[in-house]
Order: sequence, then C-alpha cells, then structure tokens
Amino acid sequence: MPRINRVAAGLAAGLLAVGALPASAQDAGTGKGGDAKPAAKAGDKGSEKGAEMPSVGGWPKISFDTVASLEYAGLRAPGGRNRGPDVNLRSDSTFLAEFNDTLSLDGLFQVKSRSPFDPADPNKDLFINQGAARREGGKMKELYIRYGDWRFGKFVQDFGRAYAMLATPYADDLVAEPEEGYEPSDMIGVERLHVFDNENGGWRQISVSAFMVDRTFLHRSWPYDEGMIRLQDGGIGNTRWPENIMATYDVLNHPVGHWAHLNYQASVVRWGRTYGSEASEWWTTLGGDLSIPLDGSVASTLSGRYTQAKVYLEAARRDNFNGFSGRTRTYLTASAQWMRGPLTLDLTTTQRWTTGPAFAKQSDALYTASVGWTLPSQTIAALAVGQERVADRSGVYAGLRLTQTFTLCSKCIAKGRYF
Amino acid sequence: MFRVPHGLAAAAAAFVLMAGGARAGQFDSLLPNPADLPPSAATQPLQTPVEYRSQNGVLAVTLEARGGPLQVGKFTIEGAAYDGVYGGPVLRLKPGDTLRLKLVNHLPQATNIHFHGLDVSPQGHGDNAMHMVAPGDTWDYEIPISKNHPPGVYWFHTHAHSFAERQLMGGLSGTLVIEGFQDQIPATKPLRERLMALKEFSPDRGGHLNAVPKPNNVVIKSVNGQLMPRIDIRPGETQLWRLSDQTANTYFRLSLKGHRFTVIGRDSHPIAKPETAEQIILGPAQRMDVLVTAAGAGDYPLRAEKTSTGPAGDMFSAQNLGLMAVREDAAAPPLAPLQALTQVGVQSPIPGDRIDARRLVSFSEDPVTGLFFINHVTFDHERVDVKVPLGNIEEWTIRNASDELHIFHIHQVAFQVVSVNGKPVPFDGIQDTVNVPIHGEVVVRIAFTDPTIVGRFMFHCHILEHEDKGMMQQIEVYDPKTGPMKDDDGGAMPGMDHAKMSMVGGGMGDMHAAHQ
Repeated sequence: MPRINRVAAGLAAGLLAVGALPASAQDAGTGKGGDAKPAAKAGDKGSEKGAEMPSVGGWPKISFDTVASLEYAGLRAPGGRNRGPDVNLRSDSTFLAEFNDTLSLDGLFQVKSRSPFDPADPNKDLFINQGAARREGGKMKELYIRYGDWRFGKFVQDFGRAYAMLATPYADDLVAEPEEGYEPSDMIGVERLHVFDNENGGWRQISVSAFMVDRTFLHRSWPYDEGMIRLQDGGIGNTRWPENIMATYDVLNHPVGHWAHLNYQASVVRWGRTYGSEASEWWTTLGGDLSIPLDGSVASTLSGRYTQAKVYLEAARRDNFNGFSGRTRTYLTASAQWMRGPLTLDLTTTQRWTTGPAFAKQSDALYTASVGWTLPSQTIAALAVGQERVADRSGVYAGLRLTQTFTLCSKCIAKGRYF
Repeated sequence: MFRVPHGLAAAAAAFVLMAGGARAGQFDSLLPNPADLPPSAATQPLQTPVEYRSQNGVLAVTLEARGGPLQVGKFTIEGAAYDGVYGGPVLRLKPGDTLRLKLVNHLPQATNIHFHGLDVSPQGHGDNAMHMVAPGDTWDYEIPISKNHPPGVYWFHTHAHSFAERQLMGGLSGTLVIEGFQDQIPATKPLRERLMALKEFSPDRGGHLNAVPKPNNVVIKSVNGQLMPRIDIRPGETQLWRLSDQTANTYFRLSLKGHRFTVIGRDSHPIAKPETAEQIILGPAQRMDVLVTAAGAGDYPLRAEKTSTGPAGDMFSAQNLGLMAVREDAAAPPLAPLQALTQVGVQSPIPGDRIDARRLVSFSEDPVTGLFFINHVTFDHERVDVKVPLGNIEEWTIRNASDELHIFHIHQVAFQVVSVNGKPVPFDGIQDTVNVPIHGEVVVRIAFTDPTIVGRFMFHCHILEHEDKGMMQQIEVYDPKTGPMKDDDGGAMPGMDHAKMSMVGGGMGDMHAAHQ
C-alpha cells in the first residue's frame, strides 16, 4: 500500500521549479507553437512519418503537490503540563521532475509549526501531539534520483505500514519519529526495486536498500536550524558508511475472495553499530491490511454510497533497542476502519513493550478513535480523540484537523505549451 | 488560544501564497456550481452542432484543430476544438461508405484522431491512434466502413498520448453516426432524434483550462457545447435521445424530473431488452440511446446528479444540464402512438464454447508517484503487451486493484460482458466500454475474428487522466499465416515512426514505481 504519509517534494525545490516554468514556456513560445503550416493540398495524405515534435510535449515533466493540514488540538495530562488547545499548521510538499522514461528527481519538503515538549517536561515521552523531535520549521525530508528501478539519495525507507491507515492528526508525526515509532527517516542511501511480472496474486515487489544517517546539509532546517549531524552524535543509523541494510517484500491488492484485497509486507533492517552504542539494532516487521467492499457496485459508488471495511494488523520489533544489547521494543498495532461515501470511522490501538537486562519492563499503550468527512473540495475534516500511556505518564488528546491536497502541477510539460 | 509559533508566520504565509494563491479556485467547489443554472436560464433551444453527411458513398471533410476562445453559455473559455465547434462536429455515414477526413493541426502540440468504437483497420491512414500529427502538419484519415458495420452513435476524439485529457477537455471531439439504428428498432423511425454530446471543461478564473483539471477545481458540464439548453417536446411525444459522454473524466448520473428513461441502446448497439430507469449512468466514452416520453405541459430539468468515483477518485458536483420544455403545439399533426420496441436482426452472443486464451488486465495506481498501471507497467509505445492471432476468441478478466472506478475500453473490437464480480451477466448486447467496480473484476469475451482489425492498437482506462499517466497497453492482432511483426518493427505499419514518436512525449516507458 502506498504510504500516504510519504508526502514528497520540496518547497524550495518547488519554488525553483515553478520559477523555471515561465522561462521554459517562453522558449517554447518562440518555436512552432501555434504557427501552423498551410493546410496540405487535396490528395496529399501528409507525411508517412510520424510527428516531428520539436520542444513540444517532451521532457521534463513536473509534478508538485502539497498536503496541508490545519489542526486545532489539545493535550491534557494528569499531574503534568497540558498543551493547548492551539492551532498548528503542517505541510508536506512533494516535487517530481521526470527527465525521461527512467530518470527523475523526487523531493519532499516538510513544514511543521509544532515543537516537541521541553526536555524537562514530565510529559516529554508522550508522543501524541508532539512535534516529532524537531522544532518548528521546514526541512528537506527526501531528495533523491530515481533511475529505472534504482533510487539514490535521501529517502524514507519502505519499512512497515504502521499508522499508514490512521486518520488521526498525529499519525504523520508517529511515522516521522524514529524514536517513537519505527520509521527510518533522515537517511541517505541507495535502493533497488524489483517488481514481479505475474500479477495473478497481486502486485509483488521486493526492495533492498543500504543507507546511513543524513549528515549533509539536507539535514539543516529553516527557520530553526538544527545544524548538521556528526558521527559522534551517535543515534540509529548514524554509521560512517551506508552499512544499514534493509530488505522488504510487499504484496499489494492480493485478491482473497469476496472481492477483498489483501496487502502485506515483511521487512527487516540490519542497522550498523553507531558511536557509543553497545550493539547494533535489528528491526523486523510483518503486517498487512484487508479491504473488504461491503457495497461496491458501480451505481453505489457513483451515488456516494461506496462502503468498505478495512482491518489492519502489524507487529514490529526493535532488537538491541537504542543500541543497548539485549534490550527490545515490540510494537503491535491493530486498526479497524469503516467507510461509507465521504464518511470514515477509525479505531486503532498500538501496544508497545520494552524489555531488557537491567531494565524494568515498560508497557505503553495508545488508543485512538476518529471520524472523518470528505468535503466536495476534497478537504478532509477529521475529529479525533486519543489516550496514551507511556510508563507512568498518560495523557488525553482531542483535536480537529482539516487536510487539503493542493496539486499545482501533475506531469506538466516544462518545455512547450498546451493549447 | 491561537498560537502561531515565532518565525513560522513567514513560512505559513509563503505556503498559503504558494499553495492557496496558485490554486485559486480550489475551494470553489464548496460554493454553488456557477454552471448550475436555474430553469429560467433555459432560453436557447438545444441545437445539433454542424453536421457533415456522406454523399455518393463518401464523406470528405477537413477538420482544423485549433485553440482559442470559445463560448460556453456565459463562460468564455480558452479551449481547443475542431473548426471552432466546441460541441463537436457531427459526421453522418452509412454502412459501406468511406470517411475521408483531413486533420489540420493548428495546435502548439501534437494531436491525432481516434474513431471510437468503429470496427475498422488500425493501420496506416485508418484508425491509427499510434500516429501523431505534429503542430502545423496535416494527416488524411481514410476509413472504409464495411457494409455490415453495426449502425449507431460513435464518436471521434483526440488520442494524443499524454495530452489526451487536456485536449479532449478543451473540446477536441465530435459525434459520428452510422445510420441505420432506427432500422434495427423500427418503432423509433418516426421519432425525433436528438444527439446530445456531453462535454466538460475545468476553467481557471481566466477561462484557461486548469493546470490540474479536476472537479474540485470546478467543472462546467454542457450539452452540445450549450449551457442549460431548452429541449422542446410535446405532451405525450416520445423522442430518441442519443447521448454520448465525450468527456475526459466525468461520470454522469442523469435524471429527468418526473420522467423515466427507456434505455434501448448502449455503446452504439441495441440492447436485448429495453429497460426503464429513473437514472441513467454514463461514464467517459459511453453512449446510450434512450426514449423519453413527455408528461403534461411543464418544465422538467435534466440534471447531472452529484457523483463520486470512490475513495481515491473524484467528486463531481450536481448541475442542471438542460430543461425539457413540454408545450402543446396546436399546429402540429397528432402524435402517433409508440409502436412495440421490437428489434430487427437481433445480436448474437459471442460463442463461449471455445475460449482460446484467458488473460488478466489489472488496473492499479500509485497516488504517491501519480502513475497508473496495467499489469504493473505504464504505457510504452515501443512495447507490444499482448499478441493475439486472428481468429482467437478470448476471455479477459479486468481487475480493479485500486480505490476508484476505472472504465475499460479496447479499440477496434467490441466485446461481451460475461460477469461482474463473479455474477454472470445475461447477454445484453455487445459494448466497447465497461465500468470495473472498486476491488472488483469484470470478465469480457472478445472475438478477434474480423480480419479488418489486424494490426496494433490499444486498450486502456477511458478516464483519460489515467490513460495519460500510464494506464494503457498495446495489443497486436496478427495473421497466424504470417505471424506477428517483430517487436522493433512498428514502422512496418504505415504512418508509424516510433523514433519520432518518442519526441512526442507520449510514452512514459516501462516505468515501475515503488509502492511505499
């Protein structure tokens, strides 16, 4: 299943591209555009050759999407600091420039207005409604070159599906936060993808990648600069070379009867040992989701009554958690979703256990419920509540979020012009 | 408390300016549809666009594709049309005629014409959708219509790979009628025939086609290029309405206040048993022949109801398309009662006792990359995906592995729908398009038995946004005596030049996209 949270492309890159478009259009305007030859004489059937297309309709093609969310939410924590309610904005902008059939440049620029809790805050480990460990501002989360089935550069690895289904406002933060969730992010490396030919059992693909923490300028953020990461800073994936290896097997839309489709994934990451750590981590995950149309006829769909149930289950484990030998953190996430037309209801829980030598077992839990409605503008309005417990701290969250996708360009030609 | 973090204001303002400002109109769909006019606006009678009829067995016509300002009701749009006719010219031929159509391309980009639904040759100057006509260039199509060609309402439209959605939405389509449908259902012969080409255009505030022509950026729907035309009819009169969805992406759910439709034809062919319905559904490229019998004097809006194509699809707002104005006409002769809807020359189902091959066509998509796939690859004009020996009768399973509707279409040959989501479908005539339910499967039976169709052509999703972004494949029907063409021998088909085609920007190549 495509990770809906992997929103891509850069604001800076996007502005650069948008700024470049008029110049290209001008170039094309000086060509043959609109300057038609006289009509052929009767009986002249035209050239037997195909069309000659100088500068019109060719490459590159530009796509630019922004997913923007406006959130009004608050957190109440017994015995600790509360938060909000307040208004926050988040945007994820994807940029794609395709240069030919096989070569493209992809980017993701993310802007957040929500800071994480102060390190001295007793609720700092409650990750609901946090800012995913970085201060507000914008940052290049992805910037990579795709060449055929290869990717090179900074990209979010295809590990786990956790939270991909969550309609809750903080799902994006969970995915983006490697310390709280289990998504490798801020990594630079290379990936090779292979898609199997036979699609009888659904779309099947396997990917292998090698990567390391981004210690380049791409890690910097704006307007609050987090600076560069150094090798001595340690942390997951912060190895000298791209020696962190991941293999992922995906099956998408596997028909399993009664027109239900199953997606599932198995993935493993072998992390390299980093500065100051006792051991290198291993991450493993196995999960899937099942979509079951309950009223999926064409007539029902067109009249806005398409109805579907979806269930989701995933287990993940981090061995040698945080570089401590023998320490493990295990995740189990289950979700159920019901959708009818523009209405979506979602219930989710994530259970998390951390164990290890010389470490008291810690049990954490997260429960969420949300209701969403899609407006004619394709704006999604979602109301969500959540309750979380991390060790001896707990909190309750409630929020309203409006999410809108702005597509500025979808495979627009950068040279030449439309009619 | 309303909090805007320090330093974020500039970023937020920049974001709003970029995303909101550049996409002005994004939220217009939350406002009343400006094209949804009240009945009082129906002052102009419905008109049939300019018609060209064959003479002495030949229809010779020149159509010039040109961009420029066009008037759609109160809206001035910057569209592109044949001879400036946004509603689309009408070509009328008889079985056995030859269509000679010269296309002159005044557009700043390549274009071409596909003759949708016709059982004609895909080669050379025939219905060769692989051939692109460069800006300023011309191309002569020569389409012999066989004497036994099924009559009906067909249509022709641009099939410019990568640009088809924009060009069609701009207006590059027209109606093509093969005369004789009324002879197949004699009761319709005395009835007034009305051709209705349903069109769409998504304008920005300057009247240009939106960079992203989506319904949430507003879509104007029209009939024959007219906004809210008046359809005159007498009380008790029955008319034959011949609808064709000539849009790139729009589904129509049509209702006529106080009336029911009697469906007698679909995709150019009579259906086996007429059906009455309060609503009829047309997807992109579909045609439908319906009878409408007027009730008492009054005004009855013809309405396109609000439509959704699924969780990952689009939502189209409702709009009044026209107004059926029922008025007495004392000067007119009395109406004859409608005769029984019997058919002459009933169609036969495609025999299923010998299925030579079964194939899977799986529609899928990746919202992250914006690519659309058939069997996990995007369209590549240099790759022939399916090779079929002439004479084969095949059953194809069309699977929808996505969260929105798709509509399957294959050039040159119509098919029989055998089952939808495993439920057998009684034979109800052949068709050239079929909707595929979300996560569902449709089995179609196709007879590749007509020697006329030997050559290379396409099958695809007829939601043209999807087609342009990859959801199309190439098929070759070959003579088993000579075998298929070599894979790199596309140039053996007159009019095809793949080396030049690649400059057209139509092919996205065999591109995978990681689902992640």
